[in-house]
Amino acid sequence: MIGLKSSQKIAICVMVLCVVLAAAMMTTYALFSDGKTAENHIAAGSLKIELEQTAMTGNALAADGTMTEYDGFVGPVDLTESDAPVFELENICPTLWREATFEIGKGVSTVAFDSSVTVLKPVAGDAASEALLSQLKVTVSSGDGFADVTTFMLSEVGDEGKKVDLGTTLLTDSAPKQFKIKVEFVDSDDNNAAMTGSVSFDIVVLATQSIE
Amino acid sequence: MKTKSLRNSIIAMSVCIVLCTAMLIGATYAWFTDGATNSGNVITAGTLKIDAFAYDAVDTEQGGMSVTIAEGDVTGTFNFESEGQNLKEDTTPIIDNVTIEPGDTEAYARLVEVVNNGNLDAKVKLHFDVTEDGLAGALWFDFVQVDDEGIVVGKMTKRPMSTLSALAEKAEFVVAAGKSLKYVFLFGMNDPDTVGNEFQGKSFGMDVVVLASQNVEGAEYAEYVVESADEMTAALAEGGSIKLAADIELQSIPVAEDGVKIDLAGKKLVLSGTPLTRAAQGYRDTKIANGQTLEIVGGTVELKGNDFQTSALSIEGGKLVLDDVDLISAGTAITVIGNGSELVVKDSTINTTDYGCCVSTNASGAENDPIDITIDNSELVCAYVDGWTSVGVLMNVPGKLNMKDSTVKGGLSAVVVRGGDAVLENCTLERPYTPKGFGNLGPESNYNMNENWGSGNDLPLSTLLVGNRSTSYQYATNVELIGCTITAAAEGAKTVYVYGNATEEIGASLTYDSATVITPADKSIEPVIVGGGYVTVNGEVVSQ
Repeated sequence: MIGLKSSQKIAICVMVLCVVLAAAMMTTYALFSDGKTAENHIAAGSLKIELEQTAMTGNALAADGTMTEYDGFVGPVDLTESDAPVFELENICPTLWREATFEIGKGVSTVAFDSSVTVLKPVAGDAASEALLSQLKVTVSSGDGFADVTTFMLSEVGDEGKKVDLGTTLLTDSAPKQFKIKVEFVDSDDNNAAMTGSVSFDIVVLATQSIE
Repeated sequence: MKTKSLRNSIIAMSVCIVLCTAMLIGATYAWFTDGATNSGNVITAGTLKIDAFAYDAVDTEQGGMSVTIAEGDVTGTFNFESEGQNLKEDTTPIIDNVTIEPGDTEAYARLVEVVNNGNLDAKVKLHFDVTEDGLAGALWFDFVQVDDEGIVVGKMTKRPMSTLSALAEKAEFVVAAGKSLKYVFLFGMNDPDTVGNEFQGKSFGMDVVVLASQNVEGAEYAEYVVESADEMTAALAEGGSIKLAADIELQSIPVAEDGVKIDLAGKKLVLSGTPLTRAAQGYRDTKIANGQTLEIVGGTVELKGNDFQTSALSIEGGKLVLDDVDLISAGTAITVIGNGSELVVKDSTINTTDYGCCVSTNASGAENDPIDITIDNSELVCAYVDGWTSVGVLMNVPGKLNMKDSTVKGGLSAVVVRGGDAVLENCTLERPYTPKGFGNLGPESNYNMNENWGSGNDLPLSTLLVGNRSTSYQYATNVELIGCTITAAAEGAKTVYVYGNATEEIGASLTYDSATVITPADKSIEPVIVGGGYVTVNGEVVSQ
């Protein structure tokens, strides 16, 4: 390019950019191309998971004031279809807890995928609710035997939410991936400050195609 | 210049390629995704709100509740005013200016109503602080439960007024959400035949506290807030949680069967003790027996009247927790003496002001071990009295001693481990004092070095003393030091001295890591001295 004018150099640069972009696009399509078939059939894969709540355990206040085993769950619940919240607890008291069990199925996915669960930043309106946030302990258990345990207080969830990776689901996996979320109103000296408090939060389960 | 233009063009192209590659990589990450959101999870805490009202009796029906007691020691109809006294807002005594004379057979009545205005079931208890100078012996009382219509539930029975507090302590009622509980409190003077002149001029007073907690197994009542010795004594009798609103002085802490938690709330609790109380309790002021827990948090405790041998706080099978407490002790502060006794000291200080140990055990019998001592982020300092009597932590029985991030300063020793397993992590042990009045005992470096050790603190001087040399104390001693600093200031003062019992099973072992620094000020003294017996140091047998 010795002897070229500046405008020519710029033109060359733009051409190179276009070539590289085209190469990039070609490369992307190459992920799903198959040159062995006679008809050059190209089909995109899919990632469509199934998310079910399969159980809810915990305790509940009995009429005599004792804590009894919670048995109110009717399921399983397909959470990809249902709008019903998993945790809807009114008039809870210290030591009350609930633990939901979830399954992530492969659905019609044709690719391996990584999944995660995120508890989004909860909403709390007043001082009592803020106090309640600091007394609600969340435990996410996953992995073999639910041995991978992540624990945090709802008050610790920031603007970006609290994300817990659940690992990879391979196409060869025969069983759906399971995880649990437990919410517990812990016993503390400040329980009275949380009286009448109310908090709400969303839970997001996200699956992303797994890449090396 | 042309060469430079070419270079610039190549750089520009490279930048383009890098940018495009970056875009390509970025595009790669936009792979397939799917997800589900579960919205609107709501958790709402319940409410526990108790209100209490008192209604005076009136001569004629005025639209309030009318109660007819048909059975029992007292019968009749009692009418009550329609508007009660809200006990949360109005602190006027519900029984005031009642003058009772011998021969007065009237039954005085107040209607007490406890209302659960919350949405959780509550359990309710009445707590009475009685102040009297003998008149209680001439009075009777009873609580008669009535329903919402004023119909009596049960039978009226005159009970000695002296039993009021104890009876109330045992009584616990459940009030469902939105419901109320009503009792007629009846009281009067005993039969004239039993009431003589000895009651003239006497008085009787009481404070009533309505305590409520959620009706759930394990829920505790709110703290008793006390601001006098009398109030605290009454609260201690019932146990539970007590919070100080003022500095208070008691002789000792009688620990309730179910244990007690004392929140000092920045105040000072003085336990003065007396020879009498110590004698009555085995020469110790406050005993924490098997199954009991005494937890003291957040303030200052001063122990008076105790000395080297009469500790103020004695754990005899129970558990003592000091959390964020500054403990000042005239003598030995804490003895961990019973089988299974447990001591936890965290974020606290213990300072002796005279001869004494901050923490001691007692090897007088097998019933005194094993014990479990945990000291975390705390400072234990023995006062400089003579520099060769007091010990910071003296453990001479089997058990566990776990110390972390703590400093201990002693005279004879900072820490003695004559039995059991001790792990000291990031601890500083100091013996900063020069012995005074050592007299004809000779140089401290020779004291108790050529004969069997005695009992108690009749031991060689060393900042950390490990093991045993005698025919008693026949148990193993294992000490592990992690990142510790051990010093001794005086001339000839030893830092670490180890002596083992005769055999491997009951010998002494010491291990310390490379971060542990052991430095006697007297450079002629070896940092670690092994006297004899079966001893291993860092896994190697160095004496047997």
